[in-house]
Amino acid sequence: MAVAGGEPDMREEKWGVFLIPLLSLLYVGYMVLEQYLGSYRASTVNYATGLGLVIAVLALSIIFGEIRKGSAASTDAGPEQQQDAPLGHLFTAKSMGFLLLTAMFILLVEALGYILAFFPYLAVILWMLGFRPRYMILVVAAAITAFVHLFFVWGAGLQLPKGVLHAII
Amino acid sequence: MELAYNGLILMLGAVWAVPLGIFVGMAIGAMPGLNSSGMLAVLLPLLIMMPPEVGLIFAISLYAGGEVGNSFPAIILNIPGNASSAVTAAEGSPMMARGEGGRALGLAVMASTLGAFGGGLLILVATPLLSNVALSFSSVEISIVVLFGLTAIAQISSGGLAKGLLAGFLGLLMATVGTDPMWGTFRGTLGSVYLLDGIAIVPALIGLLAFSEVIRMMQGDTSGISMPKAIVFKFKEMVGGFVETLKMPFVVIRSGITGMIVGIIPGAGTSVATFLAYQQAIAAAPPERRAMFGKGSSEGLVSADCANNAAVSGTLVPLLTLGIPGSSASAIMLVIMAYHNLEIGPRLFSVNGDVAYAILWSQLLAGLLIIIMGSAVAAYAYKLALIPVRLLIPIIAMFMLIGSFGANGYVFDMWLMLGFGVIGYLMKRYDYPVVALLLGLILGSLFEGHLNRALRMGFGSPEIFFTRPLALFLWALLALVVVGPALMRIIRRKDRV
Repeated sequence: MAVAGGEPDMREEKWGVFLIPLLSLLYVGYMVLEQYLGSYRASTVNYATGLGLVIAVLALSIIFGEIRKGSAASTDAGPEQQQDAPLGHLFTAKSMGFLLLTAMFILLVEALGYILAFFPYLAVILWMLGFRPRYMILVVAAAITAFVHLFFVWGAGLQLPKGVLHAII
Repeated sequence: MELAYNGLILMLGAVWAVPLGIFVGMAIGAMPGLNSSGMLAVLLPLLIMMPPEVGLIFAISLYAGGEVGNSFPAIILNIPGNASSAVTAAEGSPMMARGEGGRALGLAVMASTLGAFGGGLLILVATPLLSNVALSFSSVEISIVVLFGLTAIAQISSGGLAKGLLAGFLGLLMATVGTDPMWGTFRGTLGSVYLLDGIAIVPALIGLLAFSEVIRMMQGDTSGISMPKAIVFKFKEMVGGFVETLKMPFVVIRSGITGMIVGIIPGAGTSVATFLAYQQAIAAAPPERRAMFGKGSSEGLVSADCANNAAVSGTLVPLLTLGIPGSSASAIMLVIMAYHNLEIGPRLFSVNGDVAYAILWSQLLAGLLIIIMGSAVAAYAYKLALIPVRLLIPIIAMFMLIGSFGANGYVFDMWLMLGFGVIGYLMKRYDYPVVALLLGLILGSLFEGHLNRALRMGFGSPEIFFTRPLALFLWALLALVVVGPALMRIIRRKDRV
């Protein structure tokens, strides 16, 4: 990601620091509530509640700590103030594209089979990363897919999903 | 003694795994951006398919080789592959610039050899003895030891104690997913049949350690490094480096012991060992030599590489005596042990002593082999740093997807790997220790089981945790880990005033 002038885009999602503690609270809520509302034994519920309480206290202390740090930085901010280096975007277009591609691969691998899923997955990643020349993208993607077939499926006997090609391979 | 002999025989049967592991480790270590524990996670499905002693010996040899391999691009190209080779880069690359690259490589290889061999020898003698002490641990003490492991990792993590503890306890809670071992009820499965046996460790581990790293690589520059000219070394210069290292026994012994002790502490890892040994080397150096640090000091280079490799041996101690993995690499070894139903914890030496000894012997052999293989590989391994990241990423992605599928044969596990990869990435970005979450996840069922057993021992009362002398000693240690650093800060502040 680059902004005008070719400088790297170092904008940062400030709310990112709350992600882990908030997700933890959400997870604790689900685990504890499920056991309270279901017919679970006391020892099971107590264990989850104990862990949940510790996590909740820690998550809240981190959240308040970050809020305090944020407000202190905004009141004291001056040119001489030492600030943390910005981390940049939480996900760049490249990393987000990679995650979406991987999700697509997993979604389709059972239906298409590993050969038809791996080849385009690898080719698109190589293209996205700027691998050139273009014909080499096809060669490398085909070579890796062939390696998967020869080494894992044929050699190690791994039962990868064969999908639509199940009658051939 | 008989066990040690049986272990040696077992190790000799799997002896090929040592040089192969070291070689693969050196190659991976030489590639910036790849770390040996991440690569071990990727290779985990292959490792668990091997006989347990082969998988474990290969894993620890790869880890040891990786720590040596890191030094090569650090010295030659000034590219530290990870934090632990930062000192090597700081001291080795100025030597390289002065035309003393061969000498620097010789120093690094010999220091690594001595660190690995000395560490290997020490753990071979000490680990079985410590394991005997650990045998006196009951469920009460083991529960506290698990908490101690989590707290130690949390305290050392760069994000601070709260973030570390949050990660560790979250791991413990995640470990409750699946079938309740006591009552058979299903917990936190989100209605998925794939989670009835709990969260699969292999995809979680691959996601947290390896996939998260790939996301991080995708965030950065993926164009790779260009190298304009060929680099040539003379073997004679390397031998000169070997001899020079042998002429500083105090630096080697001090750094080796420091590395070993730091390695034993859960979560401290090789980076802490390296920096601590380096600081000690600076403090102990005479003033005229102290000025050389940061400009190509041989003592600095030797201290870092020796401590680095001794720490690798140290990480085996808590794993083999208590079943507590102190690093990502030993967490992977624990998964291999669990997969093969080896006895995890203090009884490992009495039930699977031959396997435990085989691992210890292999470390000793690894120490000896590092000098031979390191000398052969050093002059060429840096070229691996020139492989473009854009080619490595799809290959690693393929290994990760197949690896997460391979253990159980479920496509669902690929989703699990993806999810844990994103969690791992977010954790690393905001300074949460991934290894603490992993430790909680791996040890969660063990902790819950021992906690329940301890409470039954105490007839339902938690008082039992505070009445046994050994338990009280462990609580005191745990308290020291929690409040020790804060107390040290207060004392230092008072000294300054």
